[in-house]
Amino acid sequence: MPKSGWLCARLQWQFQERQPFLPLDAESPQERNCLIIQEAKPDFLCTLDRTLPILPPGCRAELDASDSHHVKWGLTWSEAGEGIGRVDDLAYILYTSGSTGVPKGVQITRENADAFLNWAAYQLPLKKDDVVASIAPFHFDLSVYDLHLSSKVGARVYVPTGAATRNPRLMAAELSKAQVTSMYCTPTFLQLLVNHGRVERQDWSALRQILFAGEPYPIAALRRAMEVWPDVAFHNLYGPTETNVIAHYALRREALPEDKVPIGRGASGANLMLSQDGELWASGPSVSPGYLSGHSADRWVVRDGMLWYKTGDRVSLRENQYVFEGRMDRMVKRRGYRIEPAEIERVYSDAEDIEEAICISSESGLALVYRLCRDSDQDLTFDQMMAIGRKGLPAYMLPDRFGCWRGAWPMTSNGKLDQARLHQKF
Amino acid sequence: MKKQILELLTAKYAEAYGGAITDSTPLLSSGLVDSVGALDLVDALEQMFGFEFEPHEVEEKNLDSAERIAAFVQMKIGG
Repeated sequence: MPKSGWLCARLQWQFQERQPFLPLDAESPQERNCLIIQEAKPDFLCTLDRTLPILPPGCRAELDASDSHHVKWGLTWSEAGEGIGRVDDLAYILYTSGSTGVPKGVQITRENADAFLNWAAYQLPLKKDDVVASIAPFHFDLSVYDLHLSSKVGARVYVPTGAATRNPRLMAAELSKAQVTSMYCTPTFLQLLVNHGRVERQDWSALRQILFAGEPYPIAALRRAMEVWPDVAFHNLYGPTETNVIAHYALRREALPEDKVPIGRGASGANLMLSQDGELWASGPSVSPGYLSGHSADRWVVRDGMLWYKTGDRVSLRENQYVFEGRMDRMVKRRGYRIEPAEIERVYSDAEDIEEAICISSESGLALVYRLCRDSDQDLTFDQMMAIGRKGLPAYMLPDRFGCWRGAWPMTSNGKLDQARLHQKF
Repeated sequence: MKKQILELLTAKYAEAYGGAITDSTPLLSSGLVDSVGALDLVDALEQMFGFEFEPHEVEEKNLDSAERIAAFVQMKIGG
């Protein structure tokens, strides 16, 4: 379902009533959502109207209830069993891009969510008269603060219109008119607002805090935002979906870092440690017990009797603060969203005319390089390539450029794929 | 005016598109120009023709092709 005030209230209620939920991205292709439904095997599905999405085989839907805001379907499954590996005390499941090529369901327990919310209630409290902007989509974990901390204290939530989410000028006008006091969003969102939103024409007198997360904030852009909102407190929050927020850094205007904004120190009661090769590991009450179906269980390890999640982020420790330095693996961030190139490659490699596809990322965006099947000799057009992507990938994962590679992949002398040559050409 | 718009679009997008941008080449609806690209396009058009998009005017129906852009710009500056 698309975001709405009704959906916001519904998720707040389900959280309070301890009924686990799984927010699906309404803009994601049905095929991808179908994979997710098949794995999670929910008992109910809520849609906006009576149009049922594609359902997995063995799943039957029966109309359960409906009103002007939603239609609720009861789902029955021919195979028995809830989603495999579902944990007790589940609060919600958030799906992220998977390194194996299929999306992974992060299970967040009630204890996990409360560890974050209790920490946030103390460190970044909301009050009854706050107006919280709900900027992040509900399938993105930034929304947990907006939805559930506000409902704890009775603060109002402002849900921007769908048109505003695609248009920073409208967004700025809406947020200022709603007199929002708190915004939690990605640095990309803030940069769009500052660069394209005509923010200096709006009244921001109610705004008191901006929380950002999901990706590094370039320091020059952050300085600009701080000039636009001179009296607003800025906070950097850090943590993959699997851990909730596990580090926090409050920006001080008089002592801004010179190159990188630190991710800071532990939050939500988490223990952080650096592995020997510089990877950040996290353990504590906010860390998820694992993915649905037990995928990628090797991301969690037990050390000294504690369960640690290996974040895959390379960090350093400077002046007692953790600083993000890069990834250990291929994952890329785009507008705060996690993208596993393997998922893009799977969707394209499954297409009829494509033998194999490789996704490469650079500063100018994501490029998909493909080799055609032997019996086709015509390069695919941009439109054809976008059509393939749209069938299996959410919009934020669609490549920016495409290139056809003739013959075998370029290899380095030690038999690995020659990424440099692909980068050169595309 | 349309010529200027086509030149702008060609400079920005012809390489990614892998072909010539024509009057009716869909820009936003094809995915060639993403939401961020659309904002850069808006800025470029405002500078080039000296007018301003109202917040509600930054939308696909005014930006999706050279034709639509030209009609919209005409409406804005032609009075």
